[in-house]
Amino acid sequence: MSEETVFSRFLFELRTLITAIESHVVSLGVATPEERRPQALREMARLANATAALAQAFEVEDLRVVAEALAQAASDAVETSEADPFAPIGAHDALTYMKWRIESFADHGQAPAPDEREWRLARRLERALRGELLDAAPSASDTMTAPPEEFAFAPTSELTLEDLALLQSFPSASLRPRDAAADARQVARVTGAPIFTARTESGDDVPVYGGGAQTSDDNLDELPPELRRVFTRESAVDVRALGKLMLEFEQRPDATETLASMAFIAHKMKGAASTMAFSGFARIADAFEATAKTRQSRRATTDSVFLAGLARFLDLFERALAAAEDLEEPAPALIEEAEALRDELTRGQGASSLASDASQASAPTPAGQSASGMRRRLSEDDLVLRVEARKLDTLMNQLSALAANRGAMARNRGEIGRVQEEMRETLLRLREKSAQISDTHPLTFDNLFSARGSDASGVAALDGDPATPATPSGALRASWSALEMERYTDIDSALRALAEVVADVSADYGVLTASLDRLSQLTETQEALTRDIQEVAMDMRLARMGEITPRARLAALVAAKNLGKLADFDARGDEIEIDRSVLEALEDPLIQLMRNAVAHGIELPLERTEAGKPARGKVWLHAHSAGSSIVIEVGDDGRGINANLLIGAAIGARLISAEDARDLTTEQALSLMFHLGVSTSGAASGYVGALAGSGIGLADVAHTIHTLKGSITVQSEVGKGTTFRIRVPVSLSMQPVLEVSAGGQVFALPFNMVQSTGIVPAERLTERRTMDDVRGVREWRVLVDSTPETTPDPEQAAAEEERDGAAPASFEVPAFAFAELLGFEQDAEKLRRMALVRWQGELVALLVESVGDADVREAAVRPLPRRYERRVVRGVVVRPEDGDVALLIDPHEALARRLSGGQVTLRPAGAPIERGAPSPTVLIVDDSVTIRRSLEQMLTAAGFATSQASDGREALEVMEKALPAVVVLDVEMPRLSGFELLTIMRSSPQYQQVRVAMLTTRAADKHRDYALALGADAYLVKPCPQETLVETIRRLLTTSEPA
Amino acid sequence: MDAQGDGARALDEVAAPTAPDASAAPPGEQFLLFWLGAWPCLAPLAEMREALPQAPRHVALPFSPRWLWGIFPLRTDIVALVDPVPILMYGPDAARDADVTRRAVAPPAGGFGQAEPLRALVVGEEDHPLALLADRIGDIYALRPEDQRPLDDDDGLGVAPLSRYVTAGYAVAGLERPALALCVSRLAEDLLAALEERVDDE
Repeated sequence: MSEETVFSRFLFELRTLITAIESHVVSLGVATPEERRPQALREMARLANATAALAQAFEVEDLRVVAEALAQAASDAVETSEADPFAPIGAHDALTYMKWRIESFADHGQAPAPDEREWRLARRLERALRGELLDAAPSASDTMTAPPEEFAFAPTSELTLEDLALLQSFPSASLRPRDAAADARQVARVTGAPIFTARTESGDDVPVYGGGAQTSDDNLDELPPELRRVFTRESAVDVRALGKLMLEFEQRPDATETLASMAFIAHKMKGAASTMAFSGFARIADAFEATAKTRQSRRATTDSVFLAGLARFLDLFERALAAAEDLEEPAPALIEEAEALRDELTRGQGASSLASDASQASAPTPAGQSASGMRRRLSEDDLVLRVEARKLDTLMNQLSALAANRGAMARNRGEIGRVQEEMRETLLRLREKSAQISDTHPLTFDNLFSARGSDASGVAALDGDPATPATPSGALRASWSALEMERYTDIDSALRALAEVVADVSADYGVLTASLDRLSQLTETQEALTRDIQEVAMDMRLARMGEITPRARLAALVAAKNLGKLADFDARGDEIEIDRSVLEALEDPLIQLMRNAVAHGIELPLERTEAGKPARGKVWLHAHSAGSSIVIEVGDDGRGINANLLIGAAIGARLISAEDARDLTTEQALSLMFHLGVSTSGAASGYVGALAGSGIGLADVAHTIHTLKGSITVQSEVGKGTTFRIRVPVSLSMQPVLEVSAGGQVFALPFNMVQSTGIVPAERLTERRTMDDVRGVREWRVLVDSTPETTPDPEQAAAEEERDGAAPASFEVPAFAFAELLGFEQDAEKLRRMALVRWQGELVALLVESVGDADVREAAVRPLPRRYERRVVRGVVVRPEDGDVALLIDPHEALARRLSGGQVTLRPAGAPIERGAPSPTVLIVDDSVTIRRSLEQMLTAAGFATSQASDGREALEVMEKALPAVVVLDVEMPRLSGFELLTIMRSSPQYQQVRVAMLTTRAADKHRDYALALGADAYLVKPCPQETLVETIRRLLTTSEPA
Repeated sequence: MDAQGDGARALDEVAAPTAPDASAAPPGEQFLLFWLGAWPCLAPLAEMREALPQAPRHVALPFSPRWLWGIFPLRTDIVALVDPVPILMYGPDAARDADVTRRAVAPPAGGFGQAEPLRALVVGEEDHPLALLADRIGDIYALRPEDQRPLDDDDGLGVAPLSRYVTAGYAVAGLERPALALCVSRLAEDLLAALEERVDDE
């Protein structure tokens, strides 16, 4: 690489780092949620340390000093609770200084050593960042506690007025995109390829997309339209937020945090506008940002005048936004008005016109203006209602409960149906018996009289008086013909009544049947409606992949621009739908992977051409459906990842032993990059890029995807490129499941994790052992027929087929009782079925009692309440047939949980790694809790166990209980200093084997020599880079020589 | 003391609580009588959410203590079915012991060999329902302070953890020994805390 290119890279790196640090400083002041503060601060410290390392490499000492102090300040700030921990310690000034220095490098075409005044300022900045100025007695130049207004850019600085004046005298405190463009053109000259160049009129430190010396209109034509749509949508939201903040300002004009929030939003809009080449919009945002920032420290106008100015700004934003929607820049008059407004509000110039506005009692409020502006743009077709995901989840839960209820109703309806059928049969029998009785007892006159005798006594009896003697009327009746009057016996009456009952029951049965039929129809209709509602609710949660494509494209383009690389972005599968919560959770990991693809994957144009590749690289974001899952690929055609370097880094970090490393497949080796502590930037690509590293790490990416019940794999070939393949369920609330019965209970398995199912003939099942280290889990071996789904290694099978002339008919796989993996008892006699899953590249049989008769079905999955959560349980599914629930089990987690410590070396991606051998303990002795915690985190991440003590005396107490392998020892501490402790240790036999590494701010040789003379094994000066500390401790552990 | 109806009615009333008729209600706080093992217990009716005539069909959770029988759906809630007897016997710390079971510490209400179906009482806050297994559920009683009876070790106070939850003993008609008025809310809190602890362990 030529010297020119190296210098260009150096500038790019520095700018990128400073931009990332500044974004952290700004967001920490106004926008970072409390829970993310420590992570942001640590990330900022890491970036500052990287800046320091870069400055050291290029021998720019003043930058190194300031950056190291900034890193330390960020680490210390983890423990503070201030909203903006950097406000009182000069971080903003430090950034200003560093940016100025970087731009002076660009101007000079080299990185000259600092002159005297720069050195002086750098040293004072260092002291300010270390908090030393806060405690120092005020000097003559420190006597004024508040700086005059012309130094308003650093209102809370601890620097002296002299320092501030010096800073103010620097020509510019911004990273100048003009120079970025020059650097980019320089690369273009080398490669001869067209590139994105930087151009903005706002003069700020934002990434710029455009065409070098081309005009603004040319750049607009180059921009993909969807990016501009994203910009206008997001800016509309931002403008609305500004309106709301203005209302807050009206209520509480003294609340500086409101102004800070406004400035932050304007800053964000400015960056986005510049990126989209809406330079006019950016200038308006810039004017507003300056106005809001200045107001935080200085009131140049009255509150009412200022508010009127804000309202006018809001109107300007509305009009600029309307122009942007038509892909046009705001009219020059708007920009001029915004800048004039800024001057009015910050310097009090022209206040009379605003005062006139402010005095109008009927003047619309900012919110009113904002609302009217919004109404102008919002048509009914665009109307979108935002609903909290929590409410949708509640709706889904209630629908699940409805489905469960539906199941219970169906079950009861089935019981009623069975009773109905029995009733029908009973009725038929009743009719039949009734008919038989009637047949055997025909109703005849003769019978009647033969039964009662030949006289009229029978008739009399029917009249109700059997004892009535023969009368004249009886004689008359005796003369009647048998056909003239019916006569019934008791049996006949009973038969007749029976016939009537049968008829009544038949009629009721008919009515009941008709009612039940109607009820069935209504139930079916309700079921259909419930299903429809479930589908609609599901749809409400669905989002298109295309929603994140513009952001990924932007990330790739900006990364390419900032790093001087050339890359074409390709997206496929934008139409694929996925649960919104899944998509939102995936967004940051995908953006991070895309940045990595450009930053770590794609080579610089010169490298590519030297390697015989096109100067312009390719990155892509492809998605496709795979049943109930979606597969997303993020790839590049760059330098690829060297798996051997990864293995080396993993061994170094003690994630894996050298012996285990020999058995790793390439895929397993590459998956090491998902584990904490293995640097992809350093080991895999040899490229340290702050841009890609400024977000979440690969371990976080893997963890997020694991949380989504998904998986991530990586394929890479050195020189060819890298592809990350992510598979996640389309929805977390509806999933296809397979029901199995084990241990007397029904469970559900995610269908996409089951390779196949099968019968387990007893003769094919052989118990191998009961694992000693896992109580109650037996391991069997089972013969599995070879099929495409079960073949463990298709390539090997093909090779064997070629060699032997036929594919193997069956093969043995390890088998476990599924219930035992979950901690339940299992009667082995009942194990008759199996579900095959692939775990860590191996096929494993889960032995169960039965596999559900029903086909695989879409089941509503409900999360378990937190107190019932188990890692092996993904949720509960409602069984529609009975309304009961079944646990949805993650078979990989079940295997991992019960078999950890067994023969398998790798855990699923994203799962925490458990180390086999006990880690050596490092005792951290320092009176600063911040330092102790920082070191603890650092050392724990490197694989050490740690203990802590706040002074020498406590250290002795700790060592009485457990002797550490290494002591990291500060010098100045209360009660017993580091030197005193070291003296005691070296004079006591029990501590002779304990290695001691001094870690102190005392950098002088006399302190170092004294410590070594006392018996210290190593002497490190704070702030000490993590790598140096870890490396020193490792060396102390492996050798008896001083480090 | 005044009894109101039979057990079935008591169940119905607890299952579908209605505003009590102030004019008809006898004086005194209302309690539901139920049995945990052989102990007759009373719980303030206000702390009861629902009474289930039989222990619901449930699914066992992996890696759970044996006193956590499992979970079951109750309308839109997922509710744990818990056996409180081991905790009453051994105290909240017993929740850490996965092998503690009810039958190991207390005979069933009807004595060993009596296969009565277990019932369940749903208690707890709205967002934290919990179903306690009960051997038997009795009537609702309105009890006054003068119905209180002194308790001794034979009444259950000899079991120290149980006494943590007992607020008083009351004479109830038909019972040979005083019924133990339990602070069900405290019991539910301890059980929920133990469940949370299990999650952290897991």
